[in-house]
Amino acid sequence: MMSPKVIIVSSDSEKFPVEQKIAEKSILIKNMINDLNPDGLTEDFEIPTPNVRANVLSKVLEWCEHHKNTVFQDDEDEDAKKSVPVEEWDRNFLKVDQEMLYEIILAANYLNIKPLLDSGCKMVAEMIKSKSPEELRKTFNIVNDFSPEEEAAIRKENEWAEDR
Amino acid sequence: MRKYQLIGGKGKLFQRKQSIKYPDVHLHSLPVEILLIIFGYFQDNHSLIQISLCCKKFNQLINKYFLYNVIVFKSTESFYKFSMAHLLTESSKVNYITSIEFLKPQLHKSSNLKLNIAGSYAVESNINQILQLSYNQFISSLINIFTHSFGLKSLSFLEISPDFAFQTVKKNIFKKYTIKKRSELNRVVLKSQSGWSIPLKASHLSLLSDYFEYLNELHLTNFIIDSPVNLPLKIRKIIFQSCSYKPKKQEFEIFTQVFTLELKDITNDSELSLIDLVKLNNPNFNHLIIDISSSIFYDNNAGFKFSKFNPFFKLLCSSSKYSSLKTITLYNFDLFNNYFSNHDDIHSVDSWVENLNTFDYLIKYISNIPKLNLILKKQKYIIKACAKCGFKSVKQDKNIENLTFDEWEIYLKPLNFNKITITKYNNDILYTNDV
Repeated sequence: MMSPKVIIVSSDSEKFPVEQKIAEKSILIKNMINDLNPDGLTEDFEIPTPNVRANVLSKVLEWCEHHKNTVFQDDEDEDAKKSVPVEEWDRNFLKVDQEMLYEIILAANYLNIKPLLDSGCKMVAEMIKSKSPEELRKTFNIVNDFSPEEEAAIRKENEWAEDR
Repeated sequence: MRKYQLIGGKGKLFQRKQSIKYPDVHLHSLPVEILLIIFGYFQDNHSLIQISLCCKKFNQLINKYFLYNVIVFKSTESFYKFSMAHLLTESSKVNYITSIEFLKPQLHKSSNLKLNIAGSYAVESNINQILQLSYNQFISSLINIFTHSFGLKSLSFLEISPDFAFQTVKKNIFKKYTIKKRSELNRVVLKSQSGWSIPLKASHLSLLSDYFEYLNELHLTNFIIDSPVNLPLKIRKIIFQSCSYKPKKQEFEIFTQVFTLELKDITNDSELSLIDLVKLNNPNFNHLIIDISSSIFYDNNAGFKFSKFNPFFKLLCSSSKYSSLKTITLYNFDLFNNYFSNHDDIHSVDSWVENLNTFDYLIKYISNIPKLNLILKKQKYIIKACAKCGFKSVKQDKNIENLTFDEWEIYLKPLNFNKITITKYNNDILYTNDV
């Protein structure tokens, strides 16, 4: 007999049947499965994800599939983890347009897939890195809502922090 | 009600400039929790400031959660600038502060305050013409922080020179009584300049005792405890790191409320005598924490000095002198390593002469305490799954952190102990028989 599948349903009602092991990369889904099936899955199990669109969900599941057998260190040393660059496969996988990247981050946050959330956020951080405020606004399409006086005041009040 | 209506007018005061609408999927629209993860990758102030200049929302987040949340002043100059911008005037930013660290905090410049520790020291503490606050301004800036930053939890003075002290600023005698003390400060760290041990003086803490009733934790590194410090400051937990003590049977008022004493990086026997000092006239003292990886416990070649410290722990854990002590925590504990690696001996020894200077006896002595916690050193080592002990599968030796509750029971059985709790370095409980 085939082992029962987990069927994840996107917000636009597309169904994605996956192995339990892959679906359980999402802690949200893992807990849901365990809570509702304390004796283990005996038949296919459908889970709706009302705020994840199909094309995002398929990306996220692609990631889960790839990392099916990856054991992520449950590292409590947050600072050490911050300095580690994004892993090569994840980096290529996340080379998508900004909107897609944010949607993947939001989905990873909602589904509670910490390593994917970390990789996604790190990619955004890399885009922010070593840019001037003006370059940042341009890259991310953000409107400058400061008056020149306000901007000068902020520079002044933060002067103390620029010393190394 | 009427009052408010008058101020409110037609609600014009509260009308804001039209805020910009961003699409739902946009960096600016991401939930705060995610923006905080992203911004959290930036550790340097320069990058944080660049982001904060981008737009109002980012500015707010960066100020509140990063730039003004945990502050490190690496120089007196940077504290000068901070003080000018935020402390001598009204600034809302001080409310964001939870932790402040001063590196080489500034000194009172008067030369007659110099301690005669070493003539050469003057070279190092020489203050050149750098931009800094006058000493009185420094103190009043600190006071401003104490009285205005209500989120302040942790305060550190690191790399302090032997000259460092809070000199009492001349103040109105009556003013002293008008200071309303805040109830507590969570954590204060004092650490001496590397290479120096500094005698602890009342003036190291006097300013704090003027403004706070309690310190939940005081952490002293490289201090010599020799003359009594009597201040109306109550300390709940004290950590002595690499400190020494010149025993005098004198009571230290500030230690009489201490519940918990921690000894860290113990380098000399006198630090252990601090237990007696803290115990003196102190009915509250009940928890002792010892860094068991301190060099004092080890011989370079022979490992743990059981012959010297077994009697010490026996006295500590069973003598009526220390009966107020209810809990002992030994952290960085890696003696199991030894025990397990010499494991075969246990089954082959036929001991005619009982040797009291062994790991077994150490455990036996320390487990006399009502509550014993052993926190394993963060270091993974493999232990033998020995069939003679009752392990079913002996093929794989296991990582000590992966031993199950039952396996611990099997292992510890020959040790003949009382109550014991063993935890991982991150405080996850591995084994306990204390229910």
